[in-house]
Amino acid sequence: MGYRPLAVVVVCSLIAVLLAGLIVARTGASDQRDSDVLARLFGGTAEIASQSAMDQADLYLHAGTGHACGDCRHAEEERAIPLPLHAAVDRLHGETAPREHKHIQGAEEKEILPWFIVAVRLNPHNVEAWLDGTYWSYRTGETQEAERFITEAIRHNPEDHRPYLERGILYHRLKRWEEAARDLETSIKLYKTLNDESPFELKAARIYLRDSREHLSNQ
Amino acid sequence: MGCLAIAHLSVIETLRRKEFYVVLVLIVLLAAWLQIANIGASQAGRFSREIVMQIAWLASFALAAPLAARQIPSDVEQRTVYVLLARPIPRWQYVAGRGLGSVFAAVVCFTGLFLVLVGMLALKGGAALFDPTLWQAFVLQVTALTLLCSITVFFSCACSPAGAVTFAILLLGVTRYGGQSLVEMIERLTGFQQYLAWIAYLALPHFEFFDISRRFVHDWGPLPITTLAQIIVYGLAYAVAAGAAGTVIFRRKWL
Repeated sequence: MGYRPLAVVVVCSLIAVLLAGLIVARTGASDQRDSDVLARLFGGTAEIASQSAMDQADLYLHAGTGHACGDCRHAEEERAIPLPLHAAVDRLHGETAPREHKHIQGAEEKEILPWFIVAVRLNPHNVEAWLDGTYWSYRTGETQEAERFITEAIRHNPEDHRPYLERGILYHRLKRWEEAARDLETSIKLYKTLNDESPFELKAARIYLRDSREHLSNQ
Repeated sequence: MGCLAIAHLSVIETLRRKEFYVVLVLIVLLAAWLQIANIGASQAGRFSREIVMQIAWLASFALAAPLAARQIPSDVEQRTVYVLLARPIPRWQYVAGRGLGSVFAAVVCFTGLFLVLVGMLALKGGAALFDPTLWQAFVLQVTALTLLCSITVFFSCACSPAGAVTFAILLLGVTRYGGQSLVEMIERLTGFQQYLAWIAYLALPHFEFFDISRRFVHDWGPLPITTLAQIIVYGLAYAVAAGAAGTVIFRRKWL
């Protein structure tokens, strides 16, 4: 009796998600063949959900408060509107959900990693999520996880030069010169064939490649 | 005493139903999966803590609203209300009893779900169990459930159970997830419109005050005691006011 509206909402949401999935599959907007069960469940909304998971990672990095705002002081001054109880409501909002800018540090940085896993499971073609996840895994000392993560990124996005570049840099940091050189070469090769819009990335790949080759020749 | 007897009746009726157990099993499975899957780094606890907490909190709301909405209408439909009121019980005690019953039942269900979170935190080392923020979050959620049940009982006196659930969930969703956005919208208005919108905003039940999950998940520490007390008093006062308004409508409509 009382459940009817909730049931309608749940059923409508499921239908919407399934329809979105079908439409995306038919239009070929996203390749679902190698998708995770989460991606299949979310269908066409998976890309949005994946980006949302990335935003959550950013939120976690800032201890749940989001990015610092340059005009916050100004905004707070503007917020001081002479409405009754406005200050009390604003104080309660600020105390229940803190707004101060803060970064998590050290071992706490591991807390953001699960969100990158969720992001790539939702959308395996979200290359930024793979790259960020690899960087933060390495930064927090999870080097094996970083390697496994970026290797999986290459499996899902074999035509994209960025995962090769990221893995090349990772191997370079781990002093695995031969593997680093191989990945950086692949990255440069793919970069040349695909687009010409990232000179910084190309420079980075060439610098790391030259350094890796020097180390190899010194061995 | 009369209202407590009726409340006791409501709790027993609720526990006889199966929906709570289904939700409980689902949350236990979710917590177990998060524990076994160990997503991300082994030390990362905030993710699973937040997921289980949010699901438990939302599930308790989803159980509480229909529970409170069906209390009085089902009594009227099954004519139980006439048997109950044939005893020398004041009308307000009957509404208060049904309201309290739904609150107790909702709190019993929520405590079951909360214990899953506690169990998961214990398995993760147990340090978070000693964080007063967790217990503050529990108390505030109990207050929020009291407020939601009271508002739903109020709506159920004025419209159908389905309508009562819809209105209550709508208010909960708008204020809990859009409370701060509403303030920003009002701040952009000017003149008389702004005052009118602000008064309407103040009249809404502010469920966002009861959500301190961000403080708990991201280790911001507990709320100051005075703030905690203010929020609890606000929630209980609003719940009593909504219950009283429901009683007035109930007396006029059916008796």
